Amino acid sequence: MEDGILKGILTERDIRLHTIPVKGESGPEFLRLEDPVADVMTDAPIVVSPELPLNQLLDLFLEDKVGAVPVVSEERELLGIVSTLDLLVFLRSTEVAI
Amino acid sequence: MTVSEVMVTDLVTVSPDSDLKEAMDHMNSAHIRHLPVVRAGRLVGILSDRDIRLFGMSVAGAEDGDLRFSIGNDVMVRDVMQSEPVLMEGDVDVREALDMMIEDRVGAIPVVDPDDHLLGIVSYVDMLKLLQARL
Repeated sequence: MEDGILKGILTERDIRLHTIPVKGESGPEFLRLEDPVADVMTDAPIVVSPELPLNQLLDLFLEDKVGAVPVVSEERELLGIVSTLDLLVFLRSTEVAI
Repeated sequence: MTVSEVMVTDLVTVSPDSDLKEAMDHMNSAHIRHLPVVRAGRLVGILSDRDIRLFGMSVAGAEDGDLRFSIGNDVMVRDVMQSEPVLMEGDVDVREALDMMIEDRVGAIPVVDPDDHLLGIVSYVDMLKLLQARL
């Protein structure tokens, strides 16, 4: 974040990809503990509008394999974050038969 | 609805004696975050993305801050896996699995028979699909 505007997101996958060499891949530059977050974060993350319908959010989670997405305004101001855990809690709270 | 009705049975598994990098190759190529660890058909643990990250971070200081070498070639799956994972039998209600995922913050739960033979795995993805089908 910079001045309330979303700049990127740091995920477990980002950290894993920058710490552990994968066989057969040269991989990105490796991380050192003192490196800034900006070197490792995903700097053009998928973001959603607070108005996005739930079924489209589910499609995003299931097809793009992301665990959480920032929710931003039209000006890219960070409003919140919505994760798969939030949807599990929603599913539990609904009266939908499962 | 029971977990056996929603679990995935076509599984990628790994041996506790595999090297960790081999297991990570499986996870990367199959795009999965959880790998059941099986010996002779019996579940002996689960290896997750998070376990690998925590392990990597725990040994990071030993390498002068350079995380590149934090997981050496001699590290085996058994050194990093959770050896007493949350698990359940197939006749458990889906809502109970959902509760466990939320309360215990686990993304996937292995499903076993009474002798710990691995039958499948139920994950948050299966739960999201359930929700998707009902919206």
